[in-house]
Amino acid sequence: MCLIEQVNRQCQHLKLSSLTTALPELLQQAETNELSYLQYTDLLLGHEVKTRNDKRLSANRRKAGFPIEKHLESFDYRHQTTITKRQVNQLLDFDFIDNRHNLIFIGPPGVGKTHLSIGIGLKAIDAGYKVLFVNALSLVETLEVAELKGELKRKSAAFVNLICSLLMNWATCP
Amino acid sequence: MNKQGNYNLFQLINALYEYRSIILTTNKDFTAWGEFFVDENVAVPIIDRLIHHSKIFMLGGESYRLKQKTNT
Repeated sequence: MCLIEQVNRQCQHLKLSSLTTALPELLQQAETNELSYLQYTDLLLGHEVKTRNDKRLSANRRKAGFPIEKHLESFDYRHQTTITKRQVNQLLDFDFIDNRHNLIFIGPPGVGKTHLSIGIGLKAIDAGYKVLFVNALSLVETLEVAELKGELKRKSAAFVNLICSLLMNWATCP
Repeated sequence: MNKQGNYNLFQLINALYEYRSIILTTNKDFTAWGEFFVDENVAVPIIDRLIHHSKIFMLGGESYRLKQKTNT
């Protein structure tokens, strides 16, 4: 068995899946840049860590269940003047999540409440937090179903344990 | 929302209270939250836990959806 196959097998054994595919390219990089042994080790491990991190974040984004991806970058502060960019940016250190505080956006339909909250939610995921988006009405339904099955306690515990921040959309027909 | 629904929701909010963050959006002022529930009295303990330790942003202005409509 040639050495590269053996390395690949060992990567698979250790579940370093990203290295298996990237190894030829990384070796090439090391050759062309004449990396030291330590630099090459850093390159290999760095690649695996980054790939795993990206995977985790995209899984978290999927699990968050946003109905639509709305980014803060596209929020129009010229149209919505009752909140400033600075106020929003201040929230992005996520002290509020670390201190278990809530954010509440109140306003008539169409002023950007959901856009802001989803934008903040996406940034929180990028920062490593877990977020879940729920509609208040469907949340009540989910809880009702769980309650009928006698699983309300388990369901609530799952909510509480799996998330850092619950994004709740609470709207009603006038 | 029926009585059991109120109770379930209260249980969840209570479990999250001071343990996890909630980002909440609503188009009704808290004073009008009684409309969501069977009566005002069940709304109070839920609102109480939501607004304790919270940053509240009152957003105003006209609807961007409406504006898009009128611009075209």
